[in-house]
Amino acid sequence: MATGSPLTTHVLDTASGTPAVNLKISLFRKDKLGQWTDLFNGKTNSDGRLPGLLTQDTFTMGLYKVTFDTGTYFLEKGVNGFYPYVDVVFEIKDPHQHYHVPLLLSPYGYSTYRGS
Amino acid sequence: MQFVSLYYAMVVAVSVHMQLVSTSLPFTKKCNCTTLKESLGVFQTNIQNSVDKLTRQVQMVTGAPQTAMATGSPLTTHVLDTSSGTPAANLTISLFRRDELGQWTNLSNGNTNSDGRLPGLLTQDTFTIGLYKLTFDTGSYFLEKSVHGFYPYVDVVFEITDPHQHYHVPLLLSPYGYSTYRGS
Repeated sequence: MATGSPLTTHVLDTASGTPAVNLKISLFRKDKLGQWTDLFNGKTNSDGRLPGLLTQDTFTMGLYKVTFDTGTYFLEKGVNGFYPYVDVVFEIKDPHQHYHVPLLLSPYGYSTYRGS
Repeated sequence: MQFVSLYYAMVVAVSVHMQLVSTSLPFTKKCNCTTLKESLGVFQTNIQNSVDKLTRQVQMVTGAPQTAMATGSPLTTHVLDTSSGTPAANLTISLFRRDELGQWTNLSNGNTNSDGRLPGLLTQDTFTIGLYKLTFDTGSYFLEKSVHGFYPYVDVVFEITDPHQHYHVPLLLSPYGYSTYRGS
């Protein structure tokens, strides 16, 4: 756990009942000028996860945004989706805690929560 | 002694009610009443007037759905605070559409009403194919309730492919989680 990312995510495709594999995720942090700085990009693995989003020393207090490329994900599956992408913007107040920001996703609905 | 206290309590309750009713509901009479019987009579009339008005409104909505839909916004939303089990009232919502240059154009802004809704987001003629974004100011909403929320705001970006359909984009919201879906 000490070597894992303090911020993790997990994308589940609730329409198919499987992890959302090969879904592109981008992580941003808002800088002092109010611009979103790109921190990390990657695609989910076969379990719908994307390890290594951050390291502890780069994890500071502030506003973060995770962008899930749901449009491309569903397009590749031949499914029509309502959301071209999903942005989840959240605030980190204590970088010593672990933050899990999952996405339960289907073509016409999604949910997210602070998990553990 | 208890009966007298109860009587006065009822008189006060009815008087307070008459003041509230006369200022907040239409078709109500103000009560210049001196007796409890008079107060109750006016109270009954006001209630009946309100029921009649509400019945007519319900008939308008259920009896002629096409008329109601044709005049209502083709895009609607509804915010529910699942942590309190109530609609999220007075929550600021902004609607944007993406233009040809990829910029978000602000179309409308407003605060949800006591039912967590914001009517009049759009009119049918301004509703075109494209990408839209609803921004819900959840940060201010929870701050005003002195509750700490994880999300400073919630953006929901969606694509309209058929502007002749009705799109309902609700938000089920709590301080550490939310969900949204395409409703009807």
